Amino acid sequence: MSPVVITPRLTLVQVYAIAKNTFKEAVRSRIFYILLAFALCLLLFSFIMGLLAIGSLRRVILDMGLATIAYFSAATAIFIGIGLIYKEVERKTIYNVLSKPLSRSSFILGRYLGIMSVLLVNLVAMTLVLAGVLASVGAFTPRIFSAVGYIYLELMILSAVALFFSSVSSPVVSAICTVAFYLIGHTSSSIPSFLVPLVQSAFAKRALLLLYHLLPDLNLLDINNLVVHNIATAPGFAVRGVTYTLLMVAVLLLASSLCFKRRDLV
Amino acid sequence: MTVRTLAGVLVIVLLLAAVVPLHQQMAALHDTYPSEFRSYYIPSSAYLKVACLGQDNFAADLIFIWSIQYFDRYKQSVRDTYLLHTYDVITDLDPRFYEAYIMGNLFLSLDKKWDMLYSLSDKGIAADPKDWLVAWDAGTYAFFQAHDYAKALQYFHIAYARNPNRPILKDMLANAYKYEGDYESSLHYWQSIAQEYAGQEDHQASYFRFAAERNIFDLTIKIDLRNLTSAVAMYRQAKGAPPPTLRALVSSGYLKSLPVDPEGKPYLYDPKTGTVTCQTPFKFRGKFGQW
Repeated sequence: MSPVVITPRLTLVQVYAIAKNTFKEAVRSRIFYILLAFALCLLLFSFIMGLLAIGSLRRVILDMGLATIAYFSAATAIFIGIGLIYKEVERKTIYNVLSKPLSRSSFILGRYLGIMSVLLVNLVAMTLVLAGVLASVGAFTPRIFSAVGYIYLELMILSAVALFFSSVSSPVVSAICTVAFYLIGHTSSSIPSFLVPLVQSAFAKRALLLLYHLLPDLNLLDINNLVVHNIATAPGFAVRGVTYTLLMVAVLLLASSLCFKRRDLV
Repeated sequence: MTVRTLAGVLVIVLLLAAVVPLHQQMAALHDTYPSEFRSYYIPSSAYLKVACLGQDNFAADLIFIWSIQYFDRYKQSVRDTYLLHTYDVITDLDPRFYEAYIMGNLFLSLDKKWDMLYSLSDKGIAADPKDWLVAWDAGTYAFFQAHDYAKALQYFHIAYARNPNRPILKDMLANAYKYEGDYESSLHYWQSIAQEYAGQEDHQASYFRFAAERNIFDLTIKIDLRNLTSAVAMYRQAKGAPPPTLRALVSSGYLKSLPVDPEGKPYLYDPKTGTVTCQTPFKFRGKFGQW
């Protein structure tokens, strides 16, 4: 039997096969449906909340709808992402996969694309419900799609983080680390606004600002507030947002791949 | 279904049956606490901004909805302490939450907390340099309820500068000047309104033209009476006695000419007391007519 030559075309087919398998696995997961059902209920409930806020029906539906999508899709990314690699190792199914002429990097990439496709389906379902609720009160705005687009960018980073931790540790540790990343990502913006004014020393101020720029600031990718107030994003913001996300994802996937390559699975 | 399953379901039903009255009793006991001791605490917006993980608007909405539902559960003493803080937090979380400014102003006006109302409105006015609604809202409270016409003028001027196309803003500016006692400025705005709607026949134009014509009529009399009274006072101060007739004011140089009212009738003068009156009645009557 002649040895299999790994060509770029074969790699793509392999990555696609892994991604498809990951998608199927994720949509069979009960947690996926539970989170989606909760999110859809909350989206519908936003209509009732809007009625309670006198004169603010449109804004409450938009705020609550976009916040629900952001929170629940992040939870889905974390819950599904943390077990992606570990489960394969634990069930020993990884040996079947890696015994094929498939690089570990392709496996990581396939897993990542799989989870991103699941999250895309999830996001589309929630966005359609939100659009329906908004349309039912005559408040539909196509700008929700741009807000959801930015939520997807955040999910791209979050899933890469979950995948990275999943490739080096157990699901519990991965969950703790990914949630910590999410919390840091959404609270780091308070460093310049909240912590820096509290310190007196100029050196400490500079150190805090440096720390802020080193940490991820996921709030930068959140344009929900702008959409609610019909404010356009700054020119060039979208390009920078997408580039920043792709860079972060590339770094995390590369790190996951390196860690996974060094991992002794025997 | 096995007996064991049935027994399990029965136990669940019995437990639920016990929970309901217990909950009712707890709720009844809770209602006996004085309202000011019920929990009412909102952390500062700086902490909330961190805690809501970027969804500041959503957090603002939740506190806003809560503030509306629970407003009348608290005594005024509690509201005095927390009402402005609540709306301060909401508008810190979302500085462009117009409904919160409007609702906060409404609640503060019910307690007649005018300084708090102005403070909240000033924040809203500063938050969005294009918005005129918050300034308009604050101006109407200052005008109709606090009767603080100087403050009303300040807010109507901001609203008018931001949206000069709203005829009601010019109308309110003219009214605020009138009640503030600056009749000349008020007359200037009413004349501008009358000019703007001259020859137009739609409902809005007739409404504003009607108001402008009546106000111009009344203000002309008011200005004339004030000028005449002032001239009489100056004459009295100089000569030690009021003038024998109004014409004496013109011949002595205190007036350039003797005015007549808008119907062409002369003003009446009592030389004994030195008072000047108008024989034509004012056109404006009603609640705000006593100016």
